[in-house]
Amino acid sequence: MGLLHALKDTTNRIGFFCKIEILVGPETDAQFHFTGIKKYYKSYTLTGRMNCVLVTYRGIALIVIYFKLRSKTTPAVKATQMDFKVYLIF
Amino acid sequence: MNENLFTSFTTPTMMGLPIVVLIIMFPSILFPSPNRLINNRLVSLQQWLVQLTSKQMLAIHSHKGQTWALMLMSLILFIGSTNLLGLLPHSFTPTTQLSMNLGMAIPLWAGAVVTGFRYKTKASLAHFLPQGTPIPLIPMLVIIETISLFIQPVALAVRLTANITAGHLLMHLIGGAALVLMNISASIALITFIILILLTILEFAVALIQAYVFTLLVSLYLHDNT
Repeated sequence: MGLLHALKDTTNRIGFFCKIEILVGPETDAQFHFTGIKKYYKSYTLTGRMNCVLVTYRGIALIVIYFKLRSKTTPAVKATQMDFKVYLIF
Repeated sequence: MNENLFTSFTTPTMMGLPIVVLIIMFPSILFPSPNRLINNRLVSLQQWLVQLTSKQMLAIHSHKGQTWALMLMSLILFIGSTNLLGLLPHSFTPTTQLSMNLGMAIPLWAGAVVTGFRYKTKASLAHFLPQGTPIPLIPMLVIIETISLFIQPVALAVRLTANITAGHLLMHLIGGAALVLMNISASIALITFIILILLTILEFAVALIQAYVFTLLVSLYLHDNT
């Protein structure tokens, strides 16, 4: 029991010092070890945050361009005979 | 006598010509520049105040941020002196004009932001997303942070304008009320007059605090970007 307590105590102390190491000093991407797509698009690292922001802006730009192009290619409504008769009445 | 409550906020003219530029330049002649190794008491006091303010404000900045020391000190001295001079009766206060405050806030904020994007592009872009944001919230938070960035200069200008204008208006109203109440009830007029004295003391504090807050916020925006 005494040995377990000592191990737990040591683990807590190491954890405490590791937390201090992470908290003190400027934020660096090196403290995180992501792999794959998470390396570039994770909101914990500086690079990941920058890429998420850029992707969001590009997405908004694409949506705006899509709606602008869609409004240009919408065909004009053709006048029908009914419309012409209604015009003549008035 | 003022025709209405807002006459003191209209830009003053002399023989049809606007003299607002002269009024804006006026506080600068109240600060004598030191031209001797050992100066007189007034200049020494002025230097001591400037050093005290600059040490406190620039302590958090890096070397790049400290190149803005002259700009920040000029800003706080200008806004503080303009606000204090505006407390004189029948004077015009340039900082009640939103146009002037926007003219100060927008270039300073833009300068800080452009400096940040130029020298620390990654960190400046990363500022738009708080660390540890859950993935579903990322697009919304980026939009919110972008809007909050563009709101900053507007908030700076409107804060200064609203505080100084509101203070002046309140002094006008309570002063007018005290004058009218003198014929009705002397005791209530006395209470109103005491409130006016306290409000004037508060306005002196607000004049200096608003100058400090404006400069501190510009300094914080600079610190975020350097």
